[in-house]
Amino acid sequence: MRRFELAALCLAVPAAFAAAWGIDPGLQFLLVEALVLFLMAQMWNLAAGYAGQVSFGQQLFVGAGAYALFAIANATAVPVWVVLAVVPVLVGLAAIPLGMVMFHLKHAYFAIGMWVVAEIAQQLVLITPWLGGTGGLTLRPNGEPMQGFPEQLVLGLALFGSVALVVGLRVFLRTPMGLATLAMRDNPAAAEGAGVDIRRLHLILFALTAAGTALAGAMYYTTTLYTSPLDAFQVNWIVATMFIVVIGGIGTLTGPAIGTVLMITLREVMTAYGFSGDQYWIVMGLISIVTLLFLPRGLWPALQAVLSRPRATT
Amino acid sequence: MGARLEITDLTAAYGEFRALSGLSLTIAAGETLALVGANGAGKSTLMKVLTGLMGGWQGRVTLGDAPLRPGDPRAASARGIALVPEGRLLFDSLTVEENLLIGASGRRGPWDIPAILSLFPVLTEKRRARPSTLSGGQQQMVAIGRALASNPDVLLCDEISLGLSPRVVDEVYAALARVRAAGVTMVIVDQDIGRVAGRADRVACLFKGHITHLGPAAGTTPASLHDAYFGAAA
Amino acid sequence: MIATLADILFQGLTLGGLYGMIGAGLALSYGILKVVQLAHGEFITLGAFLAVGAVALVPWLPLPAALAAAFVGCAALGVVTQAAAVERAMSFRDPVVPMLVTFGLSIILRNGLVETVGADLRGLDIGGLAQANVTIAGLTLGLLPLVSLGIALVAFAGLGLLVFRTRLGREIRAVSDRPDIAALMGIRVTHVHLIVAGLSAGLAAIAGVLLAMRASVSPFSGIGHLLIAFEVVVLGGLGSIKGVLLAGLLLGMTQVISARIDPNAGLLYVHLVFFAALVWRALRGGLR
Repeated sequence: MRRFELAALCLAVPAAFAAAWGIDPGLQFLLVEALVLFLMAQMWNLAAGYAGQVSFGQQLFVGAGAYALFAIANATAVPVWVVLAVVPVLVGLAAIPLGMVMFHLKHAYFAIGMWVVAEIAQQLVLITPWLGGTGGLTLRPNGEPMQGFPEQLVLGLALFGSVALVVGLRVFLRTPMGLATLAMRDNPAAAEGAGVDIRRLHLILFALTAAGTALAGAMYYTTTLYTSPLDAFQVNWIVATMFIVVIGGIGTLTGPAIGTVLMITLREVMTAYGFSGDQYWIVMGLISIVTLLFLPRGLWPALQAVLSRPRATT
Repeated sequence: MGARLEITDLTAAYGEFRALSGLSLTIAAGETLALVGANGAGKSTLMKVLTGLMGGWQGRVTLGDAPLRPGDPRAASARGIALVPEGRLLFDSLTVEENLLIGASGRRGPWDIPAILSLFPVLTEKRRARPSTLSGGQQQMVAIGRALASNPDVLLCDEISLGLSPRVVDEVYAALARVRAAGVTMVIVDQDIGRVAGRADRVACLFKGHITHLGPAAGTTPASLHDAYFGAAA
Repeated sequence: MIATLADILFQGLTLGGLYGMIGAGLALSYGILKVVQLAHGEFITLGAFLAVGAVALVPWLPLPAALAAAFVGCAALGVVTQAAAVERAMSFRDPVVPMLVTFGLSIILRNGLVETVGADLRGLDIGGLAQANVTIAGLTLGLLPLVSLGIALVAFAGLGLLVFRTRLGREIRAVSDRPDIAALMGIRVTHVHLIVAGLSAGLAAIAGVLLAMRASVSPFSGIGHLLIAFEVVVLGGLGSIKGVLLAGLLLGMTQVISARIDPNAGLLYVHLVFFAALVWRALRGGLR
């Protein structure tokens, strides 16, 4: 691990504590949402940007994370924070057989096939009484109401988790498997020729994406204390995720951070000026299309090119 | 009828790689030019430039008395340039007859569907078939027929005999001889120097993007072209 | 018992025709342009709302006129969006770019619809068609599903004739096969792309009108319609009009039967049948 990566990790700890106990609750909710979206975007980016597995079914893992957490925490005496650590493992493991089936679909078929699976999951939860059906579930660990202020701890966790994820991914991309991932991003055929087991790598990245997204979803719904099928499995999760990655910069680690800041800022500003949610999504859609048409790799790679140009000429 | 094709100081590049550098060549109306050269010498690039499939080149290409617009395949087609591409590249969602019909876009002339079918009688019974079900030679005939259907002034044939048996190649050249007799200007690319030279007026040899030999076809043999072909003359 | 069975068959057949219709535009777009038109569901919804709007303006409007209004409106939008955004996106080598562009387009259209018509469900009743019945061989059949099936079949036949029997259809197939060689044949490739995009959106609009006559639609219905269209295309195979129709029948029959057994299941069983078919294909291909 490089020195500044270690420094970032160390700095993240006091920052997480400060955020958890030094900020007013309204801002905490906003920050939790932003960090959760950033985590989801980074995970989708890992699959779509690096592994080329564009999926429109990310909301499947959000909902799976939320429902796994609520179901296990409500039915057992295991502390919520322990369940929160177990959920990504469970969802990640469950994703492996799913991946084995879904990988038979290629490209666009895979992308929309995942969306169909997310719809199936939503419909199944809707008609399953012990998961609350249409009414949804309230978080009641071991049958008791949730104590304290979960958003404080979740904010701390999400903040530290986001920094740790970026550092972790940076380190991962330097390992042999990470280098294989980069090779696969740049030229799948050549990577396969060089002995990379693409299918296995895809499966691992798919499971990692599922696990990370499930963790983000579980964290988010821990702060809301309530989840429902129409909320946890909603398409808006993938819409937001995709906009963040596409606008910020697909296949880069910094891009999703830029995309998240832009998206949340724009939403807050537009809401403050009295625009409706529909109008906000229309604007986001337009920005994403314009970005795709003129900077198909996103803002960050374009920015990098501009920033590095003077250096290159001198 | 054939048209005169004049290429002056043509340079074309793929990124850093210069496929053609300062090439000049004039092909008379009704002439048949055999174009030979090793792989990567620039033959296919020249075809792409002439048909408009490649743009962004420098230099001047004049067909008849007007210059050709770079990178505009539709304009090239309307001006009377047709291509029999390397690998045939037929439309497999179309029947044989539809492939011929799609070539017949606007320009009137002697090459209507019956004329093409009489040039390649074997295609008559294959009219409703998909090109992928045909033999390689029959596919090449469809490709030539598709190009002829536009009644071109200039017919470009890229790698005309690639992958075909000698007997089929003879059939193809016999048909091309009738096209030549009709006065169409032709450029034929073939790996077999001896064979193509015997069916052309002149032979041009390309090496690394420029012409290393240009002369009458009569008497041209692989041996006499050896230096031009491998670049020793340059 | 036999009457019930016949009723299920009739409903499955008519809904299947409709599902095939829903898939047709997407199959055209993906088959010819190689673009997964993710705004397809929104074009369907928009077509429905165009007809609803037209009937609101002119209450005595006959069905063909409503269909034409929806078709023309959606086709125009399909052409405009193709020219303004999708065509440029197609010029990038990465096929993901056009797909993401149409995803953005779907978000814009969906929220634009909510802004203009509100989020409510709307239905369409033209000329009291919904209540009319016909009796054939002792069976009482709804006139609306019959008319709807007829329109779907006519649209399919028309599409088949256009693609396989006309000069334009020849050019469309040539552009789909080899766009660069097609240009060499003097075909206006971009022009053909625009026509296909318009046709695809227009077919979506017809499906939308038929859907609105059968049940109600809201601006959020597009997602469900896109997924049905996608399932029809995957099961039916690209480039096969017959396959699309058969896949539509399978899914339509599934929906009719499952709705009898479990009225609250929505499209669950349709999605499950599709997923099962997928797993079956995966297993047959061998799970590596």
